[in-house]
This record gives sequence, structure tokens and C-alpha cells, in this order.
Amino acid sequence: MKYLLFFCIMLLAVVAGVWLYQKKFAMPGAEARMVAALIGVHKHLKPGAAIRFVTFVQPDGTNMGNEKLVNNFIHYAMAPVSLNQQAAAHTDTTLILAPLRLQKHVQDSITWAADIIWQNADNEYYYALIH
Amino acid sequence: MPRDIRIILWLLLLCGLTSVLYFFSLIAHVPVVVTALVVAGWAGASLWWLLRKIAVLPEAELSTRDQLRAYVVFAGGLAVIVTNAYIYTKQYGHWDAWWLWDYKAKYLQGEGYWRQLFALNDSFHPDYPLFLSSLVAFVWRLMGSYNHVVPFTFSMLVAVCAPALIFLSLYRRNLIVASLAFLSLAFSGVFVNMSVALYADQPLAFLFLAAFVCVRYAPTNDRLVAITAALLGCCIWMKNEGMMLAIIFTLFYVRTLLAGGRYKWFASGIALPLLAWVVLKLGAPANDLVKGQGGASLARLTDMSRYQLIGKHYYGVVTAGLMPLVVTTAVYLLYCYQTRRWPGKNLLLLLTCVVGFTMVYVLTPLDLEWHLSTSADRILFQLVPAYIYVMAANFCNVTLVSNAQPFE
Repeated sequence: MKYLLFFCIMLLAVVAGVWLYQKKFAMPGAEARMVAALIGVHKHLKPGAAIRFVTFVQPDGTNMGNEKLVNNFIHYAMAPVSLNQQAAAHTDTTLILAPLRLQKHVQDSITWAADIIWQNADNEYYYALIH
Repeated sequence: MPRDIRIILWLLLLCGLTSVLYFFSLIAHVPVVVTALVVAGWAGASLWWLLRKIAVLPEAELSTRDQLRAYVVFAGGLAVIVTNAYIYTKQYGHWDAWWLWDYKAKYLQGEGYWRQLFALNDSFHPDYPLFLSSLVAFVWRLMGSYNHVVPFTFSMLVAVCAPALIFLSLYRRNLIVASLAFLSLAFSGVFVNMSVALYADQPLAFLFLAAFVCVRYAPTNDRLVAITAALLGCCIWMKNEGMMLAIIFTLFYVRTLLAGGRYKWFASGIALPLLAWVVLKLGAPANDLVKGQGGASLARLTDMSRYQLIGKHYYGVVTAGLMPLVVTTAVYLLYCYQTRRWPGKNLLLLLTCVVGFTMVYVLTPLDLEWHLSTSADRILFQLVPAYIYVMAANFCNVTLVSNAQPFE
């Protein structure tokens, strides 16, 4: 039965690793909803739907971000909808672009704004996050 | 083959079969519940077969005190790995994890969406094999969500089980050497960081290592030829370079794996993952490295500056984290020279794999500096677990299939 003991130690290690991972990246409620909205976008997309991405502007007034990275991440957020369907939908080009591990007051602002959007969301309003 | 090793191999083959079956079920429009039932049935039957039906040959047993030491080293090493994983892991992995592997899993997760995978542009590499993406997509589909715990759990399995496999294969022969090999990976921040990056490189490394471990027992059991072949098939289904590794491995072990009627066992093991790979390649666009070959290939082959650049990057990778392996190899080769022993073909096999990677870089149509800087470390590290196992086995004086022979 030695092999069972080794197996149990391995299993315990994997479970511990996964538990620590979940603890490390536990998200507060609003943030979890934001990510949920991100991954559920494709279910609502239909021809003619308007997709709005809200820009987050830094306190000094400048926009964060890199346009190529933004475009790439839009594709990621929209998967698995086809690229043709994405192109057919009208897009408002402003975008939330903010790493999730920003300073707390910045994160709070994003989650507050996103929470309001989420509460008022219908088939036409979505937002994307980059991290 | 001891039972603790069999369980690890069983886990690997279970992941491989799940990935392949789910891919086929998408093509054949089989409900995911049916696939899940088939996988569950196979898991139970195969585990029983592996643990009960394949004879366990006697191996050296440790004293009680040494066995306790083995448990302590094992548990301690895994604790280090778990700690390192916590330190290094990012929530969604590194770039290629969410850009490629998990991105494709999103397509594979949706019924009706998977065909759009092949309409993606080249930057998404639609021709890349789908072991990882298909496995993640299957679990996501059963869960009904995109929870990133799923790809992370698989990466933890790799980070834990790869060093564990090395330890369990060797500790009965030489506890000290096995412990050193095991702990060298456990304490390697580079190894754990790469494992939890959620890329396909370290899973490929794990499969390749498992093939080395399995083939050691294959001469005494034809069924283990099939298992070795299945592991090589999973290498092919994991990444494109897996095909090169599988071919090189098979050529070096052609007598063990194919001669004397064993080719039937080999074919039965490799059939499913190889078929999945063929079906994928028939539907996907051509690989960007293959597409880029043509008239310029000969010029690239004869351009010495390319070899110099590759050597410079390899040197950087080796000096950044692989110097202990270089020193160990030098010591071993000196020992072989002194005792007039042949170092064994496994070292030559791994060196051939490095040559293969080098030729891919020489012939790449992409910018060579960019290609090397974004992949050289990951590619070379695909060989590290197998290399550590081979060197440790040599130092344990374990009889490998490539038994050391005195040279004239």
C-alpha cells in the first residue's frame, strides 16, 4: 500500500495548490460580476447590437492603453463569436483598459463604475477588461 | 513497473484520452454527457487493468528507516513546489495561455463554435494541436463555465507529478540520487514558473519524461509498448514539436518498440492521438513555419550567422538555469571515459532532440531573434525533466533499455 500513500501525498499537493490559487485570486462580488459579464458577452451578441466599452481615464486625464493590445483583447473577450460577426456589430470604441491589480482606490473606482453599468445592463451594453 | 508509477501514467493517459475523445465528439456531434460516461468507464477499467493485470516484478525494497526518509523527502519537495506555484502563478497564466490555449478552449467549449477555430488568423496558430485546449474545454463544458481553476489544476498536476515520477522511478535504487534529482526540480523556480504558466511546454515535457520511464520496462512486457506509444501519441497531440520528439524517440528505440511483432502494440497505442492529429491537420491551415519554406530555406541552412545567434541564445538559457545539468553531464562523461563505458543512447537521443530544435530555428521564416527570444528557453526546458531522469538513472546505475556497454 506504499503506492497509495505516495498517491495521497501527490493529491494533497495538487489540492493545496489549487486552494492557494483560489485564495490568491479571490475576487470581490462586483469584480466577479465584471468577469462574468466579460465571458458571457457572446451569448447576447446579435446583428445590429451596439457594444459599448467604457474608457477608464487616469486621474491625470490620460488614457491608459495600447491600441493593439486592446484590439487583441476584444477578440479574446468576444470568443467564440466569429470575427465576421464581431465586425458586423457596431462598436463604440471606448474601452475599459485597466489591470486588475491596480492600486486599490483605482480598482474601487472601476468596480464602482462597472457595478453601475452591470446593474443597468441590457443586451446592448457590455464592457471588457484587460489584465 | 511499480504501482505508484502506473498511477501517474494512468492520469496522463486519462487526460490524453479525454482530450482526444472530446475532440472527436465535437466532430461527430456526440453529446458531452456520452463522452463523459465513456471517459469515466475507461478510467475505471484501465486503472483496474494497470494495477492488477500487469505483473509487478520484484524491485529492491528499502528498509523502514529509508522508506520513512523517502516519504519525508517526497512530501517536503512537493510542499516546496506548491509554495513556488503560489508565488509564480498568474491568474490567467502567461500571454500564450489566454491568447492561445484557453482562447481555443473557449471555441471548443461551445457547440457549433469549434469550426470557427480554423478561420482564425495566423497569430492564433489554428494548426496547433489541441490536447490542452480540448481537455480544458471538456471540463468547462461539463461545468458550464469558464473557470480558470480548470487549466490551473492541470498545470498543478504537471508541476507535482513530473518531479514525483522521477523520484518514484528511482528511489528504490538509490534514495540519495533520486532525492537530489527530485529536489533539483522542486526548488527550480524556472521549472515551477513554466509549469504554472498554463502553457503546453511543460505538459509536453512531462509526457516525454513518462515515455522514457515507461520504455525502460517495455522489453519485459508488450503491453507497455502500447502505453509508451500512447504517451508518444499524446506528445504529438500536445504540440507540433511533439511529433519531432516522438519520431526521434521511436527511431532510437525501434527495436524495443517495433521489432518482433511489437509494431502491433505500438500501432494500437499511438492510433487514437495520431488520428486526432491527422484530422486536425486536414482541417486546419498549414503551419506558419512549414508555409514559410521555399527558395530561401537553402540560404538559411548555409547562413552561419543564424547558427551563431542560436548558439548565443542557447548559451544564455544554459547559463541562466541549466549549469548544474552541464556540470553533472561533464562529470558523468568523465566517469564513462575513465571506466571505458558507453554513456548510453538516451543522452544521444536528447542531444538529437536539441539538434532537431536547432534546425527548426535555422529554417524558421520568422524573425530569428524574435523567435529565439520568445521561445528558446521554453523549448529547451521541454527536455529538462527527461534529461534529469536520464542522468539520475545513469548515476543510480539503473539498467536502462540502453544498457551501458564497454567500448573497445
